[in-house]
Amino acid sequence: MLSKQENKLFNSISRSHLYWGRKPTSGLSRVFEGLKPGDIFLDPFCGGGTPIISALNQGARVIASDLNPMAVFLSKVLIQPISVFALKETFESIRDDVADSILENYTISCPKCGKQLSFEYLKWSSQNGEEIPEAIKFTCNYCGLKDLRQLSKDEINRQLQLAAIQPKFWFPQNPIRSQRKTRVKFFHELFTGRNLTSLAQLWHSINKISSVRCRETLQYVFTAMLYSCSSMQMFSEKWPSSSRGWTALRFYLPSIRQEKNVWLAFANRFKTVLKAKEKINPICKFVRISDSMDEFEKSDDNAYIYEADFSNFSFPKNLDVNHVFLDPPYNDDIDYMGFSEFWTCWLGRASDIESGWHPGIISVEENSEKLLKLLVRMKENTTSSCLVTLAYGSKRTVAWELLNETISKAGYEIREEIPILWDNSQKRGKNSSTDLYLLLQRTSKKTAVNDYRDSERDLNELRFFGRVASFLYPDNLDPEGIKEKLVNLVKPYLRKLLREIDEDEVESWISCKASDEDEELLRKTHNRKAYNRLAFAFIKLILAKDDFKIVSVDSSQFDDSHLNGYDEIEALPMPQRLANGADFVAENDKGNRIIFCFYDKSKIDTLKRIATSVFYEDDDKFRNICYLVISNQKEMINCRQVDWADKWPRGFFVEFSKLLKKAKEIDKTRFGHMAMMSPRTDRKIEHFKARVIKNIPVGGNGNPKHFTIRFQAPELKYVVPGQFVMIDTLPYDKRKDIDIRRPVQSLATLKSRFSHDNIIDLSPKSFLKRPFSIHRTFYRNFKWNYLKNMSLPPALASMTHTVFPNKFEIFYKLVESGTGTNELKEIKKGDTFQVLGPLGKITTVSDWRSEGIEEVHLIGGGVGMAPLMVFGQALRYYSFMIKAFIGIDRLDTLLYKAPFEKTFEDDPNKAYVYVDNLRSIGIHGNDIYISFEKKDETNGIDLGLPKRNCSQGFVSQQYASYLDKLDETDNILVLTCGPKPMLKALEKITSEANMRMKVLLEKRMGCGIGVCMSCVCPTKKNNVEQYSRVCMEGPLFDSEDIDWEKL
Amino acid sequence: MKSLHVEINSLRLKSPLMTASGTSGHSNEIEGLKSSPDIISSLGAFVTKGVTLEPRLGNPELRIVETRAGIINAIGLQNSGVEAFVKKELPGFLNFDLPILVNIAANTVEEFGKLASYLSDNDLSQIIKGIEINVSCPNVKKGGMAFGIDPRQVERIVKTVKNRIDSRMIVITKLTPNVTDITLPARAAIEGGSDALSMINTLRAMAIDISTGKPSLLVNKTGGLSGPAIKPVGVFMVYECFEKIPECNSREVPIIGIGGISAWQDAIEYIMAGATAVGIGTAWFVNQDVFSEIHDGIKKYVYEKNKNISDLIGKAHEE
Repeated sequence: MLSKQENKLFNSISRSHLYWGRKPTSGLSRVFEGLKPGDIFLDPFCGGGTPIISALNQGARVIASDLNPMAVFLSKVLIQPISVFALKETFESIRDDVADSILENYTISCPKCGKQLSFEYLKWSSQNGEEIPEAIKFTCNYCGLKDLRQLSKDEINRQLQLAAIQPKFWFPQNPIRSQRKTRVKFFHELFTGRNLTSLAQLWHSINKISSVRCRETLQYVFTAMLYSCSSMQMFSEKWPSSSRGWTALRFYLPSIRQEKNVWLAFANRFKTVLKAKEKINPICKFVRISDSMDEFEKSDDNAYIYEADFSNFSFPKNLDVNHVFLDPPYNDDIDYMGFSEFWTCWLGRASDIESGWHPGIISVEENSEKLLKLLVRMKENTTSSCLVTLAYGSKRTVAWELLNETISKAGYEIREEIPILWDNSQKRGKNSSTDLYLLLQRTSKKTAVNDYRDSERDLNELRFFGRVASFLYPDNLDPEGIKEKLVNLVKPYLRKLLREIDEDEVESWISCKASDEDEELLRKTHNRKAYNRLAFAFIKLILAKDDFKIVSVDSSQFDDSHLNGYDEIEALPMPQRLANGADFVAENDKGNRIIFCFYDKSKIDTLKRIATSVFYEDDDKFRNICYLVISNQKEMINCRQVDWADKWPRGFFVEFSKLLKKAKEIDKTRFGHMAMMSPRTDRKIEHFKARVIKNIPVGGNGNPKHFTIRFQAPELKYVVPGQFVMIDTLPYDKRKDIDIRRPVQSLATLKSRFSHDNIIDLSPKSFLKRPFSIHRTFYRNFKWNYLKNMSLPPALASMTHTVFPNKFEIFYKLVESGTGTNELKEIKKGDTFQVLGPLGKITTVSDWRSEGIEEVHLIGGGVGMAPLMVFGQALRYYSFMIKAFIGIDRLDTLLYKAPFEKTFEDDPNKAYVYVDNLRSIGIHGNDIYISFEKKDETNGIDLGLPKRNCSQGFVSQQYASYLDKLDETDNILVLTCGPKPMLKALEKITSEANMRMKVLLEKRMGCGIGVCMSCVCPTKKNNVEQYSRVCMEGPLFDSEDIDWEKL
Repeated sequence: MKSLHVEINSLRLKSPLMTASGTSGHSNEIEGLKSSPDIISSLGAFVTKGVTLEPRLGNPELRIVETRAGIINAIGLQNSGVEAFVKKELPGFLNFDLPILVNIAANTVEEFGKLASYLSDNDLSQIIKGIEINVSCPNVKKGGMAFGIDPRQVERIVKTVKNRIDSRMIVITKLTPNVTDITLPARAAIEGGSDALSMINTLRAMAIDISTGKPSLLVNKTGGLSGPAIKPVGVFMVYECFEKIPECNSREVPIIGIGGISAWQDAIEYIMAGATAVGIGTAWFVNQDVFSEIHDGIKKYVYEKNKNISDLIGKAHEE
């Protein structure tokens, strides 16, 4: 979970029910970082249930227990997956059952318009031992009046009577047993008669619900609003009520209080619980709760929650526990059991009031004893690799000292300390720096290394990162928030220091709320410089992998403070000439230069100037390229928009979080501890209309069988190689004309609508859309042959982006008897057609390098070569080596002859389909091989390729003989697309040579989005046979997953 | 504001539109579309693709043939089996604010019963609101003839399912049009206890590829025809049942009209013929905005006519 999402989740959970001391979910994902799917997680003090959710989110299986039956109930309901529709339906049935009847008792007439309405609450006050209903707070839905109005004498009497009515349904009559002194003797005395009546009626209705899950969830809602409907609820003038629930920790009846409208309270609380469930559902959707420990151990259920005391909860017999989370009561005086009875008396669950851990009553030493017993129990019942997290907080030093002693007595040592980050709803005046999660591990024999820590240097480093954090998160600029971000950026030993630093100090590092504008600007620049320096350190490391060195730097743009383990900014000359104004420049010994600029809104003109001058000076040589370093994804998306292209013509972008990730990979010791989460883009499939730019025949020397359509479609900007689109082959207008529902006015009108004489056109029309792979993508300010000279450093290439593509090309072969392609060839420039896309599984070509692939062989049979072109584009971009093998029936199919097409070469009459496409992306003639089946008509066709690269026969034969001469094939991937016999032949060849192969499959399609199950191909993953959808699980498949025999 | 609400027994739907089984996959395919919130808000219920007791591979290709105004399909009920469905696919529907109706298919009466039991367990009723019984599958014990052709088999199946199913779930029987008189299996389903009827399933059809001289659907030879071409057949069958069967006429057993709906006018046609709700399938392959288009179309229509959609049910039968 990302921090923002974590906070939202926690907020919605804590708003749903006011159980105490819920641990915030943010920060917990860090504590549970090491939890893997299937790990066993133990939480014997589960309380409000948030740690369980964080653990489930990591895929762990949880065993949770608590002494308090209320906690067990809450945790169960919290994690139980439930259908939103079913919950809403259940709520509606309760509403239909009791809402009107309950609301009757809360009706008054609107003083302004006279209509009947139900009030929100009544203000009561105690005067001379008497209870007087003073005022009513209401909102009139008819006239809009919102008021807190004093009651007239008549109304007072009326309300006194109404409030005294007695319940007709069951209500709990338990006595209050809490250890805190209280005036009231029974729970039901905490409510007015009216509210007790309403609650009893509501409770009765809830218990009639037949679905266990729905019923329990509504019981959760009921208990959640119970306090606010009691006479313990204090009165508040503010709208809405600002009282945060159980503020006074005893059964206290304030002299001025609210009597809330039970139905409205229930309805509102339902909404909050619904929201919380919507957020929890995705995390807990596969949760199944066991009924016993045995069942849990035998099955693959992921949760077991039960009631137990901290001294007698059980460990699983046959499973090893991987992580224990201990959150015993440590600070507060809350009488959990006594107060929970307020709820459990309705639920009918008894509890042992006397038991429990009451840190407030016992001494610090006794507390330590209990903790020691607990930890020893852990040690005895878990393996040595089991981690224990202990949540603890105290303002007293003696408590911490005792704690440390206890921990080592039990045989544990503190591995790491992570601060507990309370959010506003739970702070209650806590001094957060004293609350910690202590990650404990068994004491090892190794002697602890005592590093000498220079506190001034450490503080310096903290300040530096504080500035980086405030630059990266300008919306999060409060000391608490910054500290939270810092935890993810600084080394572990600095986290302890971080905790001790108070907020004013943090404020002083980062504050951009300074009263003095100059000071504010200075601070902002200070922060930026720190960020720049860190990014610079990453880039330097990454470039070094490809032998690029930094040759010039504008040191005024970088922070110069002395840091532990980070390079100083060397004394290098300022960037000159073309790079004048840039932040730093790198070069390799082949003379390629990369100019880096940090993105800054205020510097747009400078950036434009630099990029434009490089653009014109460098033209297509790509010896000088510009990179813009961008700090976050939102900015990245803005800068990549097509209309931004003129501000950064033909430049490249790279994002800070990706740089961090790469730097971590390269140098774990220096950067391994850093974490920065980058939200993923939501790529969705869209149904849209695209405008055709050109539709031209290619190849065939005057008798073309192939065509290419270029069209504009910003909706496809996230398309990646291997993806395709479904196209309606009739232009949009013609498709609409087919709709015979349109009223036909006259034959004359009909005649005029159709340009040809044959009005009644019975020829076959296509019904479904047709699938076409993307053949090529085009970018603003990048010429069609931009890849020819381009050579990005491989390590940096995988993180590089350009402006989004805005034009796309599909390449199709005319099928003589086919309806679709024949329609398609009639589409003209300027027509629009309907498109669905981008479709197909997303493959990240740049990741192939980490699988050990350095070279890719593109093998295409006939029109199968077309989709391999866009792969070629991506592979060249990411600096892979490429060789292409084209299989064609006759050579003259390739010869292109149309006067106006400049796509392939300067002399279109000499251009060749595929061959010149490949050359335009920078593949050398020596690396292009061609095999043709029929020899006729080869006179005069000179592809410009070496003779040994052209042969007659099948492409698979040619490839086999090529492979014979190769020694090393480990870092080669074969990527192929074409007719079935060719694919099968290649499969034999590559599997014999133990080579990796990926296949682009084509199948007849129905919907393209995975619902009709028509486009399947037989696959065999892990020996499980099944039919996989080419449109969802493909079209790119690993050769080893395909069931070749069945294909 | 006139309402698009309709009721199918205890189920209250916010719109008369449903997905047709086998055409909308599960939650993750719809969620991949940018327009998925519009789709969900236009629908009244979601019918899943057919689930069988054991996982089924489905037919080898070719599974689909395009026709003039429709498609012939021979998918073969590919699905991962009821166990995997409940464990892995059903939870995806938790946050869909729609009642989920699960379509079940089997080759013996006992299998139908087992499916019904399985889906009634584990307090599943909070996601699954109903079952749609697909009687178009071949009856293995009777030489592969479809159950739906023999009224006695239909009654047996519905009775079996109704006995085993959780009483809070509604039972819908999806009828096949490949019969001479649709009212016979319809009455049989009602006898068996069906809470609602849905019709029609696909029409048995075939295509021959003249370039090879063989049936286009190579392995299965025949398949089911769907799409705009079959709409008149569907409308007719809904009309027949509504006219001739008293339980349908009184709307005690509502009819869900499915078959060839691709525009709002088609939906209104079915409703006027006697359908309480309608299902849309093939049209959605061709036009991914069809649900919201139809929803907006009927909304506008009822507003102009100043009637609730439920007022229009069976209107074509009025004198």
